[in-house]
Amino acid sequence: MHDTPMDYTMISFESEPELASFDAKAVGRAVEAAVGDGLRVVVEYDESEYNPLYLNDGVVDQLGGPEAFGELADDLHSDFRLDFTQQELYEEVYGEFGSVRAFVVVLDGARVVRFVAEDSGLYVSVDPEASLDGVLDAVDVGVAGDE
Amino acid sequence: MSDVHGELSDELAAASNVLVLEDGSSSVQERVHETLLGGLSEEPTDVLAVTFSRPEPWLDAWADRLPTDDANLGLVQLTETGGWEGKRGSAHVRSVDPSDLTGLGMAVRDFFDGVSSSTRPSVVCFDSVTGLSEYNEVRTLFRFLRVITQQVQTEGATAHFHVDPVAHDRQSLARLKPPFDAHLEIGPEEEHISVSTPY
Repeated sequence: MHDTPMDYTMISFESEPELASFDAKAVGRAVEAAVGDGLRVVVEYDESEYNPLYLNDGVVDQLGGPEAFGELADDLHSDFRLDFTQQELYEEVYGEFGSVRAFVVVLDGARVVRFVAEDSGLYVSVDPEASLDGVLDAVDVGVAGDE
Repeated sequence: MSDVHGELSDELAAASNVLVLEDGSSSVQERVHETLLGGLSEEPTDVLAVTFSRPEPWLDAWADRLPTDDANLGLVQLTETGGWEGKRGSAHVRSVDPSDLTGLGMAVRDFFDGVSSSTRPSVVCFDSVTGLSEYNEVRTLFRFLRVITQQVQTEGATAHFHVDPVAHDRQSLARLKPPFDAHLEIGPEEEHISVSTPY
């Protein structure tokens, strides 16, 4: 487990959020507070584009450099951009259970949570040892801010 | 008229998955379809056709017109009652129940497994999304299309999916469009061909 939250260094965002309809930085900070240096990447996205807000240097190196990261991010976005249609369809099925706030993918080497508002989202990748509970609590920061 | 292929090819060159919206019959459809299948290309192409039609017209067309040489040709007939399965020439034919999207997904996977060592381009034709929607809920079909289009892209293949826009209500059509990176609308006249890319 990672030490949280007193002694971690606050991440510095590489670029300003411009796609998310909610406070993407606040959600990113909430995830960081939960996982500390287990935070790998923070990327905002909508149906047509994505914008990396934070990239852990080690993760970019692990993937083989910025170009390789870009290719992976392109591939991921071609799938993640469909989240907003998927969200609508799930909400119809689940009915009274309300809105879909996030999708989770658990991999051996990472855990990826996609927070989704109505037409924009934020995905974070964290180390597999990190607690998903803390990450998911970031939903309460206000992913539903555009409702 | 002769420009149709060239213009289409240019506009669709970057697209992996094309949704072809065609309303009724049109003289231009067949030529557009040929373009999407790479029919004008001199190089042999691996082709998978997923169709509600009988296999024979496809098999005849492949025998007569495409440079089949040693290309991998697959045909999946969508039928509730079961169809002929086997091999004719270099074409593998099988049948899948149109309500069985898992089975259809496996058939597509098998095709890609078969061409994984091929250096030829791979092309997939789905005819049609409208037919599949008669056997499957829109949400199930969306998930299927999400997976298949991603697979086509990952494999470096190209695919086109036919849909009759008139047969779907507005909301259903809006939900079936997002997985595709280009929408090709064919009107009754040649000049009504239009390509749009959602992003």
